[in-house]
Amino acid sequence: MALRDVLVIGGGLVGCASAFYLAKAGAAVRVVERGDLNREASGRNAGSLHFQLEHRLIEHGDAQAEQFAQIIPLNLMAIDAWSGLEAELGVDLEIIMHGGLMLAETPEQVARLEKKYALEQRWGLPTELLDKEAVLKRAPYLSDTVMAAGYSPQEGHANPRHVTLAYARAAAKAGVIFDTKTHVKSLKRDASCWHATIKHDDGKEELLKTQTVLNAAGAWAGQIAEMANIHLPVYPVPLLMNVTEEAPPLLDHLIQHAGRKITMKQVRDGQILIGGGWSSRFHQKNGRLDYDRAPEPIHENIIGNLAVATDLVPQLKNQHLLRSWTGIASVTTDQLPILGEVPEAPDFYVATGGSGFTLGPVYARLMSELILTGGTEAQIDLYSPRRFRHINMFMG
Amino acid sequence: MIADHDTVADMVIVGAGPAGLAAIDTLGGQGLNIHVIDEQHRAGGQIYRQPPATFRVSNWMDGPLYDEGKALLRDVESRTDINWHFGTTVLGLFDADDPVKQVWLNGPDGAYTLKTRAVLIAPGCYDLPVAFPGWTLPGVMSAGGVQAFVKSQQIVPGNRFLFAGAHPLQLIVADQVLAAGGDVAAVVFSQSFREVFKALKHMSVLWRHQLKFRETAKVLGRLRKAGIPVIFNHSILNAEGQDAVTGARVVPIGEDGVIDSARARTFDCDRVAICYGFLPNSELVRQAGAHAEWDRQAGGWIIPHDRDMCSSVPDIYVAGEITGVAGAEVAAEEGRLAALGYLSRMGKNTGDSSIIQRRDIESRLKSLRGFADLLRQLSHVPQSLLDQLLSADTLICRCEGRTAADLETDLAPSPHFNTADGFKLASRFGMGLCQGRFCSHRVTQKLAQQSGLDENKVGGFSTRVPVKPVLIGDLLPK
Ligand SMILES: Cc1cc2nc3c(=O)[nH]c(=O)nc-3n(C[C@H](O)[C@H](O)[C@H](O)COP(=O)(O)OP(=O)(O)OC[C@H]3O[C@@H](n4cnc5c(N)ncnc54)[C@H](O)[C@@H]3O)c2cc1C
Repeated sequence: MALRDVLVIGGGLVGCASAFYLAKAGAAVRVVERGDLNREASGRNAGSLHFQLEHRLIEHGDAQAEQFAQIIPLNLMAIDAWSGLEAELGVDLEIIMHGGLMLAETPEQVARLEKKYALEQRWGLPTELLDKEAVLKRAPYLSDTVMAAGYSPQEGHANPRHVTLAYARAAAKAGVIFDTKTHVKSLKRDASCWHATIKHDDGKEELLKTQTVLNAAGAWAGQIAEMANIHLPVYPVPLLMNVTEEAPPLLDHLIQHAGRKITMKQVRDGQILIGGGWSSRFHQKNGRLDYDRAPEPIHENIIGNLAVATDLVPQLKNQHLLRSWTGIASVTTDQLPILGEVPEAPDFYVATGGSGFTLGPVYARLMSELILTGGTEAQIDLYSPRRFRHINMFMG
Repeated sequence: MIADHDTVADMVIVGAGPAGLAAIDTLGGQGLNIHVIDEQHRAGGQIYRQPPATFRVSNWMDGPLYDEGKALLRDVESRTDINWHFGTTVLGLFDADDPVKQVWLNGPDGAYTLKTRAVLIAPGCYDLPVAFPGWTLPGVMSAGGVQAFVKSQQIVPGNRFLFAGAHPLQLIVADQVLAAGGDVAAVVFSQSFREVFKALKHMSVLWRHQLKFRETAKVLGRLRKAGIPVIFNHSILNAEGQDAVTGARVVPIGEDGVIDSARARTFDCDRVAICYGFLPNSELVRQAGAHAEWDRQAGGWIIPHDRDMCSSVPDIYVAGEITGVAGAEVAAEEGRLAALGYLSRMGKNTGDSSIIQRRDIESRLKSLRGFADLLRQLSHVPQSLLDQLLSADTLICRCEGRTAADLETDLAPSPHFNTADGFKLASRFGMGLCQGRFCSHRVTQKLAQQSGLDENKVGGFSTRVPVKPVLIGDLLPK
């Protein structure tokens, strides 16, 4: 008999990877995905493996940065996870961990990098602080406006087109059942288990009984939580990405910035992905934001993003912009991931938020461990949905 | 350059071919602020493609078929109340759902945007790409591409041409090549003469469109007289050559529709011109969010519209090939209809005369569409024929180097995707510079076939801005 049965909602990285680890450990797992696998954030993201404290975490002052530095243990686990992932899954995921640079172009940004560096040292993250000469030596393609950089030797990127599908294939081999083009419509709990109504593409509905639900619905995790009669403060945010045509070898690092919104990397086939948290815009429907339709790109932001990119790497001006696309990420109110069982809804687990591509494999391992053993070796209380008890204590 | 014009235009017309020209003609004299965008350097579209203004081409587009269009072109082109943007590519539409939309353009001086209340999208069609061994060799062209050279500059882009396809346009182009001093090895049609004959039995349609048939018959006569073989019931098998085309092999198609490679014969030629039909240039309007429907006969993804030619997106009108490939005359009528629809929605030109005008157009359209339907039947190519042309290493996605064999392997039944977009992400088909224009048609059909789902369920590749690649340096403020 299976150790436990788990319904995983969402066929993104978090859902597929969790399904893999759960099934490998002996659980009976079914993944329900309303569209195709890997078609939302997990297939549309920039593929950056961020291990340094990101720009968005250090730009809100020292106290906040101090708070966010607590995430570093997760990053350390992620370095481990990515280093072994291709061997673990037995496939090429285009993982490149040649190092990442976080650039500074003003004295304030340099000061910010110094503080960041101190925090990283305190938490045991192996990073370096490079002066101008050292940066330009490592990355001669950068503009000489760069004054310094934070350097993480393990940072890099992987190809989002492959990672989730590789997990899914491995999961299918381990016995996971996938229902794609299938929506979860409702979730009800009685004393012994959860009852989920799912609706297939042909209109047929099916009632599933399951001990455990793992909500891996990314930006839609809040909607799924509502089905289970709880609130989850996760917000869908519409982002924008740009990609160039295939270019000759130009960038061999993950590039980010201590004061400007940018990430850049060159993938193995030569295209350069340019992003960094520039927004796109949700369409509206009946006066509400429409999370079910691809957001619309914003012209000024495409240009804005490319302008930062070409400031830093002037040669990019000679490349063609091949396409811009949009994707929906999930952000929590406190920017920390939400990982764990919801106290008000027993056996209902959530894993979302944060840099979920970088951390997806870690979330998945933690969730599997937590669901199957009731605890985790690593300390993850900080991320528990327990911290939102105050919004769920009135939900009867 | 970012030369954002502050004022908001009334109408931006994309494409100055027959549909766009007719719309401009109809919108004239209303004091509207109209902008017209075209990638070419002069108006006319593909069919009335003009030589550059500095060129003199004698006998430019001779023949009664073109007379009406040329007159309209002369009229409209001289209009000074229109803001012309030639040599300019539309990169995309932003805020398409909003009352004020933004059109993103790349012109000779770089990129800029225009604000407008309405858009008429009439960008025509492009040749159906057909993959066969050797199709990526230099020297393999589309018949449309050959024609563009001949029309605009009387330059024959090669010496000896083999035409292969199913569309009668190849007869016309072969004739134009001959007239311009080129040589034609053969014109090869995949349908049997009997099929053509059967279709031509619809005499009423024939009679009403006798001018076109007479012209085609004359062309056929001229080709025969020049000793050019016009071969039915045959298909191209492959193009031969090391670095460029030196010949082409042609095979008979059996009763059962199966090609017989044993009976291939070789023609010496340095150009192969392919003419199997056309695909609506619907990328831009789909990027704007308009609903599209699959209609294989009409060219794939076509844009449904209401009586005023408005797409599912408010104030985005469509006309011409993107509503279903049907030729220049239908396009022109639709362009007029769109203009009238727009005017009546603006509360202009709502009197009786406009009602009569519309009725007339609609009745002409009915007859013209009958002809277009006939032409579609006549030039129908079964997908099974196109599939037979592939060998395992034939490139399907030429940008990303993905072959027919890759398509088969990547499509092996998979729980991971059943949409074209899902497939693209997993396989890289359609991710390159052409943005899927070469392979999406085939991928969508293949995926539909494989999954048993309707093409509308499988979908096409989503189109995204910029709808054509653009130099980053051109996009930035200077
Ligand atoms: C443009 C962009 C760039 C990014 N760049 C990076 C980066 O460089 N590095 C990084 O670490 N992170 C990045 N992220 C974040 C990262 O992509 C996400 O955190 C991560 O992919 C989340 O994975 P997920 O599985 O939780 O969500 P998703 O991949 O979004 O999967 C959730 C799935 O749930 C499904 N679903 C929703 N509702 C239902 C329902 N009712 N029934 C069934 N299924 C349902 C959805 O269809 C979806 O497939 C980026 C995000 C975006 C959008």
